[in-house]
Amino acid sequence: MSEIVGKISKRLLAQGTKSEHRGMVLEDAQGLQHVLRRVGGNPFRDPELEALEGRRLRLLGRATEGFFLVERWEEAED
Amino acid sequence: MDKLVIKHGAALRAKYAAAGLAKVDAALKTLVSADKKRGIETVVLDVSLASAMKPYGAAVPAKPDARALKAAIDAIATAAKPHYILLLGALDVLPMVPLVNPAYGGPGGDDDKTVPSDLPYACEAPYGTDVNRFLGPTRVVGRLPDVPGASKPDLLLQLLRASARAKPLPREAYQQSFALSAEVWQGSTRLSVNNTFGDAAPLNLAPPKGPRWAKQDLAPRMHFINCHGAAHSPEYFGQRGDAYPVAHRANLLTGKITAGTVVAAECCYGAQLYDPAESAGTQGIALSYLADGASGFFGSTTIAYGPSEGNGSADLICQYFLQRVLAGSSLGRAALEARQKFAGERTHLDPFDLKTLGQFYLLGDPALQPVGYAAHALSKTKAFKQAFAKVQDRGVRGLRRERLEREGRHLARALPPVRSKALEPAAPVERTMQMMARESDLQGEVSRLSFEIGGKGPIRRIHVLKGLAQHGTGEQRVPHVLAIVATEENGQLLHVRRVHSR
Repeated sequence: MSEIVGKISKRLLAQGTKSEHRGMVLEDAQGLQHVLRRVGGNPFRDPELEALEGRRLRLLGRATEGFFLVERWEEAED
Repeated sequence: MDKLVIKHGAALRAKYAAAGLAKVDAALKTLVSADKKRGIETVVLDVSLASAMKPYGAAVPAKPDARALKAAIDAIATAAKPHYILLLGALDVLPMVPLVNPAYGGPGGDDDKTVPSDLPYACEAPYGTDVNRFLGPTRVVGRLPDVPGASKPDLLLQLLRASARAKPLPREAYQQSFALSAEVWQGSTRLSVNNTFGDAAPLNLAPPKGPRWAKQDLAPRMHFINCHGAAHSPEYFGQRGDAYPVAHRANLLTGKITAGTVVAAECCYGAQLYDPAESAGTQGIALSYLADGASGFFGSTTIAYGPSEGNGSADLICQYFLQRVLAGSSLGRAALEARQKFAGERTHLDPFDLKTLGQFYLLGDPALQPVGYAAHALSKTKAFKQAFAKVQDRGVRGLRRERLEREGRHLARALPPVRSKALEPAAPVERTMQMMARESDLQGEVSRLSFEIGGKGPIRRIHVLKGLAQHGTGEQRVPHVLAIVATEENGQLLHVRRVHSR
């Protein structure tokens, strides 16, 4: 299991493709944006991930090519 | 040799142990016998064995890589000229070629850096990762997959046995269709369905329908699907506004697919092969279709493209595949004909069409012919049957391959490469594009892309202005990408189109 830390926000993803949608990302301290998906969640619109918008979190899960599969999360200190 | 089965014995042994490999070999023998009865001489070649590869060149290493595999296939195809090439196994047995994504848009855009592809195996050009090298496919290729990461070859054995049993059916058996579309794309899908199955063919929209389809819904042998898909996901998704309900789910297909079903799915990642462990133990929809009786699945390895209304990119290559199946082509020939028609209809392929050509591929035995052709009267005579008793369709098939090779080689020569390059549009082109961007209400940060179209003849360039626009009203207002795509020739505007993303 790996972890990433940063602020959660909603972004337009896969722009200009058949899969374009507004999804959730975590921006880490290096400015890298990690596209988020939740185990068992809808990859295009996941209300549970959307509820995390604006929070700074430590996400635990698995980094896969193209997205981070979130298994659980906890508040991260600033 | 009519049909060549590319087997990597070392990779299969590493995956399934000697006992598993022995079962695969036994199933392959059954397929070879069945093919012989159909007039197809099939040779299974273990490309990991130096002794088997001796007439052709180097064996593919024990840990297979795409470059070595491509070289081996090229050498064998050149020497033996098989009418069909069957790639045995998923990507952990026979890797795909990692083409560089010509439509790469970075984070937030098309973020596929590479496009895993079987297209290069269908082409005579030597190994490379630039899709421009592979614009002229000539070979009939399909992949009979196993389950990535599996320790037992059960699915592969099942698919090999199903291939051995398969028989062409009359055209009427493929008369009915199951078509499924995200609601938001119904205009485009309706056009595809009309073009392929006729105006009266039903179209299911998600939402409101899906994913719990009744057996009678899925019973037709032709399936056309235009939904959202995601990497490593066993589901396809519909769309209405900002809602993306599940439209199709892999584990709801069991026991509902009619034997011999042929599927074309436009969805992003619609035919991606992934280890089920990466998705809570559920394999993808493509494998689930095949496991439940489908004989062919034509789909994409990565993010795909198409307009919400009208047809383009993925819509077209999928239609062409199904149309050729209905016309009586084998699955592999239908895939080759679809690629050739898609590439050949244009003076040049833009980066999105280049990706489309590279990303769609066939899962299934390429030699299977779902729809039998109506034989002419002469072929029913005793003299005809005697004359062709031993060779059956081989001679005519050879003529068809000759024509397809000629067409593919022509495409390889004639289609110019399209490459990304920092270029400024000529002044009149820039003025028109800016005016169109304003009239199209293109807002916020606007990005630019330019491409140079190579080859001889006039100097042609493609310029793209891409940004966000709003569509819908009130709460349904959602931003979408709008692009103005202009083709410039010798400094003058030659053609322009406006592309709305989905």
